[in-house]
Amino acid sequence: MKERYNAEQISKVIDQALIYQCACPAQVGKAIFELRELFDYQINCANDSENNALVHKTIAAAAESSHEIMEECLKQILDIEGWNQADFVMPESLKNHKFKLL
Amino acid sequence: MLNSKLMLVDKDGYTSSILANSLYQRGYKDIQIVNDGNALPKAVAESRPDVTIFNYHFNEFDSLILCNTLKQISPHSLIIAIVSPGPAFKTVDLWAKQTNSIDLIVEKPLSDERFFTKLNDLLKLKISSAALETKAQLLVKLIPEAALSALEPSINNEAKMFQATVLFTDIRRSTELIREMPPRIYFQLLNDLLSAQAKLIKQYEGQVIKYTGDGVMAIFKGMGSSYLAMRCSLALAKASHNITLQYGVGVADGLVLAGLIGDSKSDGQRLQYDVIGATVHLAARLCGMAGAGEVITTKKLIMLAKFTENVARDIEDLSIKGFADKIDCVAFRPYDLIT
Repeated sequence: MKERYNAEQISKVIDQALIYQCACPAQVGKAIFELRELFDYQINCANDSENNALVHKTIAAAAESSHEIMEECLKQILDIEGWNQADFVMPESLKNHKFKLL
Repeated sequence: MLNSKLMLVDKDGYTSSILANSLYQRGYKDIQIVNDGNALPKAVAESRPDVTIFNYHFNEFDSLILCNTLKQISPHSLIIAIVSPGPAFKTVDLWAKQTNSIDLIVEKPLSDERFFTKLNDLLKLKISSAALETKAQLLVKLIPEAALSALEPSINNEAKMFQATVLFTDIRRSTELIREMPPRIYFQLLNDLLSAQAKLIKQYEGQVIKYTGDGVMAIFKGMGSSYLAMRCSLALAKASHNITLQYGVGVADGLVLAGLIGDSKSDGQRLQYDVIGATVHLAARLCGMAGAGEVITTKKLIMLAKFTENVARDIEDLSIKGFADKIDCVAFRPYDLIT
């Protein structure tokens, strides 16, 4: 599966967003990790000849498509929120805004 | 629970203040933030937090090693790791399973339902286990060492017969003393005395079975037990000289039966561990005959123990209530030997 963001980059986004109410990019990051796990599981399962390979192939394909959509979603929301996508550090203005929300 | 001491460990000042703020808003007031991992061991040693919360950042392996260090410094402090899902979670989860240094892992992003409920549950558990531990420590003081095995469900609680040397102490003129002295003063003196006796008995590898009101009953088991019991009895008698509550000591050896006695038929009734048998009765009778600072025991025991201290007086053909045959006994007065 093609990955636009590596685990460290997504984890960095999640690490900076602790609390549920103001952690929308983190929710997307979490979904991406889950889709990667789902995909890996299906690939391993499909390798087992006793299992129905077509079922796993179908799920893997859906996971891959969903993963692509969610990665694109993450890119867009990071752009909207003004994250620097070179170092994945939350922008100061966003930090201040989220702190006020608490 | 809300007065529990919390410590937040997070290298990121922003996320640590977000979490501290959320905890504060939920009523936790005693929160210490540590941003520098190097300062953490000292901070934990000084403040002994109830819970340490680690905000784990990706590939920050140093903080996992710190969890181990903290468990060693403060084993009763609980450690919670907040971790990003995916590979970071797997790393921390594996570490926790291998080292037992993390009590709870919570996935980010945190929500009220998951994190704060789990934190509350963990603190409740800690409070109840601390209360249980306090009770267990008290229980260890209240019951004889040998009786502790009865608390193990896997151990057969049938009475056991074995060879032992039994030792009794008893205060002389206790009725007069308790009438002459203010009761609280007598109680304090008695407690000090029994503590000192128990300490001596432990030094000579004996076990206190019970406190008999004005004295103590102890047993000595295993190789050399009669010799150790005699040495202990002399040390006890020597300690009885020139104190307000003076006492006599009786020692006898033979078979005894040990186990739980009391109401075993109904639930919720009280049982107690005790050691019984003719040897126990004999030691108690000899103790009753001993003067202040004196040890009375049987000649048979002295020979068996190869005990060669100078005897103060021989007591031949002693008639003892409840025993058909007369018994040859001896008395020791250790304080006389050193003056």
